[in-house]
This record gives sequence, structure tokens and C-alpha cells, in this order.
Amino acid sequence: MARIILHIGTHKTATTHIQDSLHANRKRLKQHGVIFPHIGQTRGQHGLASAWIKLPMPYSLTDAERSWKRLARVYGPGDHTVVVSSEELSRLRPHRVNMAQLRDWLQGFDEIRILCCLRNQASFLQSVYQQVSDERQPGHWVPYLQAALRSRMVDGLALNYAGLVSHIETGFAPDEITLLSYDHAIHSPGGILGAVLAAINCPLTAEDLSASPHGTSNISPPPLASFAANGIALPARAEAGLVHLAARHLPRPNRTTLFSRPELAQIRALFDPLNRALENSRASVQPGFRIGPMLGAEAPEHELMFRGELTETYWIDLARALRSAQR
Amino acid sequence: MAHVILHIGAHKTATSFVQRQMFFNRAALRRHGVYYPDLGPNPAHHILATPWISLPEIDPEYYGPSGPDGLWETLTQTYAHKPGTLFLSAEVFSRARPQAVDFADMRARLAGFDSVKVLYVLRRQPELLQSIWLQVLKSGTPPPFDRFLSHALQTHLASGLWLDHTRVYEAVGQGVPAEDILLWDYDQIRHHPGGILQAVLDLLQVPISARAFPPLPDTQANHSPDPLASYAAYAISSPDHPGAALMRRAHQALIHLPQGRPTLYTRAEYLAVQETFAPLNAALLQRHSPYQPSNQYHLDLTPPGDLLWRDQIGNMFWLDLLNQMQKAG
Repeated sequence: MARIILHIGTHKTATTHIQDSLHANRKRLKQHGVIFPHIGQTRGQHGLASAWIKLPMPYSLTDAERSWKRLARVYGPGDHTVVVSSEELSRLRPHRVNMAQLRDWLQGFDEIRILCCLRNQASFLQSVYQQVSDERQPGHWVPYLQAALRSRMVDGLALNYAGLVSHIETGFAPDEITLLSYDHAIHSPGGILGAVLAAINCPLTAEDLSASPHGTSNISPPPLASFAANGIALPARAEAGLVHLAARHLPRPNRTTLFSRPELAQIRALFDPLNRALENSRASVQPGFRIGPMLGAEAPEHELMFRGELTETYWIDLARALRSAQR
Repeated sequence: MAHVILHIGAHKTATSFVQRQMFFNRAALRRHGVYYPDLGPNPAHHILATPWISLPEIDPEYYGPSGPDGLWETLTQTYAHKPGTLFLSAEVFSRARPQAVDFADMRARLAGFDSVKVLYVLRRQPELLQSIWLQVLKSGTPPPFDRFLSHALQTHLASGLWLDHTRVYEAVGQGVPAEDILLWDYDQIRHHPGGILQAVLDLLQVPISARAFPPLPDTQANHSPDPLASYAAYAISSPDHPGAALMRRAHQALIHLPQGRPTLYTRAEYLAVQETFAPLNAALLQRHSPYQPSNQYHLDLTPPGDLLWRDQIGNMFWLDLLNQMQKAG
């Protein structure tokens, strides 16, 4: 029986780590009937998304449609589980996957499953801002946040997960979709990688896989360091040295958040009801599924350092370090 | 009858403004029997303090052949027999450290006059302390504000000036009886029509409106810089002086502050000043009440409602300031 599982992210749910690990263990996985194909120039199969979404090199494929159909032709007749992983498949703007077309191209498989990992919106939003900061100047955090809350989308990615699921359902039946809570998965044995392996019914555990030679992926700086560095660097992108400087003076660099307390309350008020509604709508096909707790809800808030708690001392120390570095 | 009114400040109570106005309008004042002598080297009369206080910035040529003491003798010779009032103004007379005026000696030097009164304008300590720190920063590098404040609370002194007005009152009292001491509340008096200058003219019974005095050239005016911009710039540059560029950037960042009148203090710091000096002020008012109605000066140290505390500055101010610094490279 041939199965294909499309791991579509979402972004900022350790997708690079998962893709690197699966890629590094391709041979081992194949021995257990799991195919993680090498398509294009990246370890994840991002090029496949370029059938609908314009991607820069080296992510893009010249003929992505052909690659999809080849997957079905090559692996459809066998007895394998093919895993394809690209978070770009969950992007909504400026372009999105035609889910009906995708489902059609995969007709050759006996079973088709979408695996979609969801992270609580506060952590997700914060993490996207930091990722964007790595690539370009995202602007001040507050307007960025408010624009995201208005559109319920950040950088073209869904914040309203019910909307994302509806989009997937334009091509896939509800019971072909598996949602995974990133926030719960990272606390499970084997972490997020273990949870993904379990979701694809792989007999291997995360401990069975060798570490990726590419090391730990996408380690983000403390969010408040990104906040400070971006504001200081405007309109240019914040260089790593500036971010490092901003991080060095934080009193509690390990547990900071871009949010103010009222902003976090605003996020909860907006998305908690939407998340509960999504969970209810999924009850018939995925009973017990719960999106993880919102940032700050799983630990006492006093353990988090909010944006409003940046002190005069922090700014003065940072300004003095900046002045000293400039001399 | 020849009278003397000696205006001894305090510092940071618009003394320069009063002195310049009196100096530039001394001809008009003379017509009304008020004498504001030109003793050099500036519109104030600090030179008169030199028998007790060393003022090396004053060129000895201003003393004349008889030295500092000769100035006092000249005053008596020139004005003690003229009907009218000799108005002298020098805030240095209220200085505590490193040297102080001997008011008994001073009063003896004016024995030829029919009366001698001392005018002391009291500024509320939170504003006075802040203003002194900013003044020191204009010309040098003061201690960080928190250290300056802490020292002031312990010693009741700031940069050699008494914050405890009773100490000045007692020093003056060594030579001038309490009934000849006039205490004015700066905060009350500056909000009167015509401000402090009109109050001085009224005291001297000069029938001129302060508004009739022509505006003064701005070049010598002693403008106070914004407290929070100064604080931020110096916090970044200390122990060096922030310099004009950093001060300018800090001023530009002020647009991000919430509404309110900026102050150097956190609320807690302000309350500490209030707690220290309010009882001292109350005791002084009580002590002087037989000689002057206490409704003329109440020295209320309750924090005004429109103050913007230092700990309300917020991230956007700092981000803008650091952003400007980054751009300047």
C-alpha cells in the first residue's frame, strides 16, 4: 500500500530541524519503508511548492508539476510511505497551493494525508517576526503586530488556523488531515521530531535517528533583543553584532517576549475562541486534538519578561555599549 | 530716608532675569528713587560678596584701589544719604560652601542706611535640586543624578547651595533681624501677573509695569535644558559631558514621550525629597509667621499632577535616541 504524507509546516514549528533529520537519515528510514525523497537543492522538498508559489533559488524547481506527478508515478504503485515536507505548502499569501489540483496529482497513492503542525499564535507571531528580522528590517513591532491581528495573517502565513484548515479542505477530506500541536509535541518524549515520526506511523523514534550534520537550525536570539536591535537599526536590517549587543544587556535573556501584557491578553481574547472552535470542528475526525496553550499560559507570567519591563538601566547600558562600539 | 534691599537669590529663581532687567532699566528706576548700581563685571552684584567668598572669575580691576571692602564703603558714600532705595542682587550671598557670607559683618557695612532688608526667594526643593543639577551639567559633569540626590537628602546641600532654606534664614539672621527678612515663594510669585519682576517693582514701589520694560537680548538668558533629554544624554556619556550632538538627539527623541511636564525624578525619588524637606519648610514658615503672613509663601511640595516621571520615559524614546546614534555612526 502506498501512502504519501505531506508535512506542510506550518512555519516556525521546527520544520528545518525535522527536514534536516529526515534527510540525514534517508537510508535508515527507507529500510523501514519511509521514503524522504531528495527533490531539488534543499533538504526539505520546498521546490514542490513552486508549482503555485514563486520561490527564489535554490528553493524553486523548473517544473514542479512534473516532480509531483513523478512522485505519484514512481512511488504510487509500491508499498511505501512517502514523506514530503515543506512549510511553504501552508503559505496563504501572496500565492497559495491549489489544494484540489494537488490532491488530483497524487491520485496514484492509496492514502494521502496532510500533516499540519500548529503553534500557539502568540509564539508563532513572535517567532515569525524574529525570522523576518533575520532576513530584512520588519519595522517596529507594534505596527507589525497590529497589522497581523487585523488581517489574522503574518507575512502571508495564517494566524487563524480554522481558515488554514478550510483552505486545505478545498482539496482534502477532513479525515485526510492530521493536526499536530507543536506546543504539546515539544514536551512529549522525542520532542517534535518524535511526534512527527509517530504521526507518519514510522517505527523509528527520534532517538533512533542520527543527528543532522547541519546542527541545530534557526536558533533565535531573545525576542526583546530583536525588538531593540530592529528599532535601533531602522531603516536598515539589524546586523548580528547589534542583536548580540542588545541581547547581552538583557537581565533575563532566556525568557523574554516581544509582547506587552495587554497585547498578550489581546491575542488570547482573539484567538482562544477561534482555536476552541477549530478543535470542536475537528472532534469527529481527530477527537482530543488541542492547540497548545498560548504563550505565557503554561508558565506563570512573572517568569516572562515583557516588553514593558525593559528598564532605563537596560537602555542606558545598551546605549553606552553602542557608543563604545562606535568609537 | 535711604534704604537697602539685598536680594540674595536663591539660585535658580530667575535671578539672572531680574538682574538683567534691573540693570538695563536702571536709568528708569533711578527716576523713581531706586538705585541699581553698575559694579561690574556683569549685571549682578556678586562682586559684593568678595570680602567673604573667593570669586576668582572677577577681575581685580573692578574692585578699585580699595579692594573688595572699598566697594561697600563706596556704596555707603554714594547712596546712604540719598532718599530712595538701593537694590542689590546677588544669589551668591545665599551660598553655603565652600565659603559663606558673614551677614553680621555685611549688615555692619550698611550701618549708614536707615533700613536694610534681605529678600530671599525660596524655590521648592524638588524643582530647586533638579535645576541645580541641570545647571551644573550645562557647564560641567555633575555626579549621576541618583548620587546627587542621595547626597542632597543626607546633607541638605546641592553643589554648595542650601536646600534647607532655614539654614539660609539663620545665616541671614546673624546680622539681619527676622522682621527685616522677606521670604517669597518662587512658585507662587512667578505665576502672578508680571511674574517675579513685577513683584520686585511692586516691592520697590516703582509705578512701572514689568511689561513696559523692553525685551532683553536673548544671548545672555539662562535657559534650562529639558530635564529628561539632559538626563538621558548624560547617562549615556558620563563621566564625559554629552556634548551638543548627543544632547540634540536626546531632545529630538522627546517627541515620543507621553503628555506631561518632564522631570528628572521617579515618583519615589520625588516623594523622598518631599518627605525630607516638607517638615523643614513647615517649621520655617511657623518660625517666620510673626513677621510675614504665611499665605505669602506656602512651599507646598505635593507633586504636581502633570509631571512626567523619569520611569515613564518608555521604550520608544530610547529606541529613537539609539536609532539616531546608530545612524550617526
